[in-house]
Amino acid sequence: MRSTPPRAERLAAAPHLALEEGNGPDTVLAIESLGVDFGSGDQRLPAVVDVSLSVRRGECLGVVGESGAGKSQTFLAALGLLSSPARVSGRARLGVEDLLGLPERELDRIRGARVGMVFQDPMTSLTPHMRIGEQVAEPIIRHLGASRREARGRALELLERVRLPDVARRMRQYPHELSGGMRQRVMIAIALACEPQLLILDEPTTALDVTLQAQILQLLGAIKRESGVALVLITHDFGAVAGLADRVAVMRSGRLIELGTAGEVMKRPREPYTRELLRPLSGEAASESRAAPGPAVLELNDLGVRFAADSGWGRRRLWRALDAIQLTLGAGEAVGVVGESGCGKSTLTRAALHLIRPAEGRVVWMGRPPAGLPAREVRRLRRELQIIFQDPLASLDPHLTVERIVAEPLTIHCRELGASERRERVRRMLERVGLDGPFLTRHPHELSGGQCQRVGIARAMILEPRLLVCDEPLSALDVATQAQVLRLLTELKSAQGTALLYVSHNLATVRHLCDRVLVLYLGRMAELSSARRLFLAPRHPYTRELLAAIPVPDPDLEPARLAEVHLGEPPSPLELPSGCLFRTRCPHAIAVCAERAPLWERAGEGWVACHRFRELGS
Amino acid sequence: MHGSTRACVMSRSDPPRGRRGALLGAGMIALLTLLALFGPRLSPYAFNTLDWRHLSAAPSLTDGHWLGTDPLGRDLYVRTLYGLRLSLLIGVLATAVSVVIGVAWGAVAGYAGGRVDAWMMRLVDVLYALPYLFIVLILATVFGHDSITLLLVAIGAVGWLTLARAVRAQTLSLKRREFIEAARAAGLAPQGILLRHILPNLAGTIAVYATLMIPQMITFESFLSFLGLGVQEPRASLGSLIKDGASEMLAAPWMLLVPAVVLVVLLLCFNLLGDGLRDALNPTAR
Repeated sequence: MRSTPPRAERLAAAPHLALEEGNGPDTVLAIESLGVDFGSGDQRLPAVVDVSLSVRRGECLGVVGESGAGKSQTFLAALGLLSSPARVSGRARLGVEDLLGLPERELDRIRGARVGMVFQDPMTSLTPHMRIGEQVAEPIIRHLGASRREARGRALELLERVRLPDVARRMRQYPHELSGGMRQRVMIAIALACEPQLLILDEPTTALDVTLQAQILQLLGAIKRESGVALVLITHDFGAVAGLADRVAVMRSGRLIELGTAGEVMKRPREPYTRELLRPLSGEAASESRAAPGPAVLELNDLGVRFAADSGWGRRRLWRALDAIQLTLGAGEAVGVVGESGCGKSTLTRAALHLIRPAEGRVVWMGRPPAGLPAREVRRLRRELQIIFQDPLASLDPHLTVERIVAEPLTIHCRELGASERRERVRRMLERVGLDGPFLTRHPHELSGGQCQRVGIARAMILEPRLLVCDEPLSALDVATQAQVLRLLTELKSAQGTALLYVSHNLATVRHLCDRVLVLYLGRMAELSSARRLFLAPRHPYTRELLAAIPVPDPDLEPARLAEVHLGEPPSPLELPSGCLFRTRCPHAIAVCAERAPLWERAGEGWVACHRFRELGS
Repeated sequence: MHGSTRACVMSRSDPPRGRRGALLGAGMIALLTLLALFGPRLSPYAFNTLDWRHLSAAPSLTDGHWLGTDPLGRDLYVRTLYGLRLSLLIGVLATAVSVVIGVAWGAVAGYAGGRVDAWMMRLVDVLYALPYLFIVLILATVFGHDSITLLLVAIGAVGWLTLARAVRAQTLSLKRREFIEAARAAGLAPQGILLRHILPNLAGTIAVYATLMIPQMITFESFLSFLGLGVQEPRASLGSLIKDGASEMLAAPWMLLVPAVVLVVLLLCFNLLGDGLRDALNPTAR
């Protein structure tokens, strides 16, 4: 084990850390030289090393770092939520009590009652078989000893406080009937149920798209102002912290490396690592001096996809996941597809690759529609069209080695290749994505997320396809890895003239990579424009809202920006509004918007579907 | 991120539950198999030798009938091991038949989906609904009692139905996984996807089902033999030995106890092994 220098010496070396004492009367939680390690005997693996932090009443502490930095571990350990193999040292005081010495029964009383927690995934944190109302009422009954009736009344109040729309009806529903954003609101309501002194939020917005993220952050800000609860916001994203946190702690490999007010840390970071995390992805937009796109690789003509929603008793309702999609992609061109989750982005990628059959319209690959070709011919053509998936681990067959995964396209399409030659090509391809020899024999579960995604890219690129479809390729990755993968994609596009269909809800990366951007709303096209034009002067009100929802890692600008976001929940795809689909959330909607759907009209060099884009135009 | 933390904590704190049981089960099965194959050679008697001097003799070390004899003077040690051999053979072969049919049927139905799937699975439902024992009885009377092939076919025909359903369910969930979509997008033909990506990922499930199916098959064979429909004299299986033992239960209790204990131990070992395999191969427990 590594020996750590004595505390005094270290503090002298990093004077800004000495500010952290946390003995004031307002201190809610004070963590003092907390350490966590796993394993047994001599092989102990430190996860958290000597971390001291504190939170005061009415304060929000942002804890930022990449995955594996020990952010969650620190707070789980402080609350006694790590079980036996983890060894915890140090102190964690909540008020006057040292939590680390308390027996389990006492801790149970404190957790839930005096400390509320919200986790990243709102689906797995809610019990699937209980109604929302009961789940919110449960801690009130258990910790405050309220009657069932009182608890229900209190639950209703709480859910109104977290601004859950249509509360009375939602209380009788089950978690799966709520959207991700609504479930996260419910989780916050549960965490607030017993008026805790401290609320710990572990990546509360990571699973949500930008519009929902902004709304949840807005809500948290309001809760902080109204109730004076202390907040700990654990995240990998400085953007999420900027609007809310008073102080920010940066962690790396289990150590606290920087701590200060939000302004200090984000405006004048001391550590190079913090600067790295803060550096925006988009420098200059992709390729300013771009040549005209080559011959069409992919054409979508009036494409429509329908899914059946089963009610369970044989009644099927069809809903349009995609409607009237019109898009042409030339060689060497990158088109971004953006929109909220559920807008049909992923469906579009599957339909473009003919993995699901369209109900209307047609797909054309390099001048040939796959729907009219024999299956064998379609499979042969697939070598020119490859895909990178959102979840890098799920897209790799768990029982195959990296070598066999990357070699698979070769074994399908280049049968004449000998084993040694095939291995050589796999090796070269893996080197290009930055993975070397030893990786050949590994299995996917032995790799990190970023490494898995690079294996996925290697598999997609080994046949040098003409079109690469990317379905949220970065959303599962850390900031540093995102930059690497993005660099790789840019290089492929410029070096080989590969066309990219790039789907993402991360608008910054779209701006960085894409020439044109298509904005989808509930399966319909809202706007199609050059990336530069779209980000500088969006025409569709929905595009404006989307752009406004992107968080800015700047504590001076972010609170004002957050206050600007006013997009509610999207309507259910089964109960679409009449006329323009966006009118229910549009700040500029007028009578005509409810009467008829807007046309897909030419606007400058782009296209837009809005009745009022001319009057609203900047 | 939190999820991974918790998973890691849990997997390290969980004791290797079931692993000792599985190893014990596997060891005992190996031992019983060796005994079934070579054990009879240790005794001077054959399975059909009639020893007129020792009729219904109690277990004894002196006369060579270590576990006693039956009313015809046949050595129970040899006959039990012989029965064990036959029971194991039938259990393993019938399982193999079931696995081949069940996996092929379930994987094809699950992967093809739609109408093909609906028809294939309806057929399974129909077969499930047939009064199975009656059919075996009729088959046995038509084709004669003494046919191990018939027994194998009859037993194997039940097992594959359950396995086909399980494999189909697994295939359906695998089919939705992204790596299968990746293989389709790469241009791999359906049979290639089944052989290269679906079957290898089903291997764990199949292994567990097969290990848990062997004892079921042995039980079923014993049941048929107990009814007099299975293995016929002078041959013996554990079931037919138990049947003979049951009729002499009061006069010669060892005739019932010896094969019954062997059967129970055998079934227990297979179940231990199956449970252990299921825990070891369950990806969520890893």
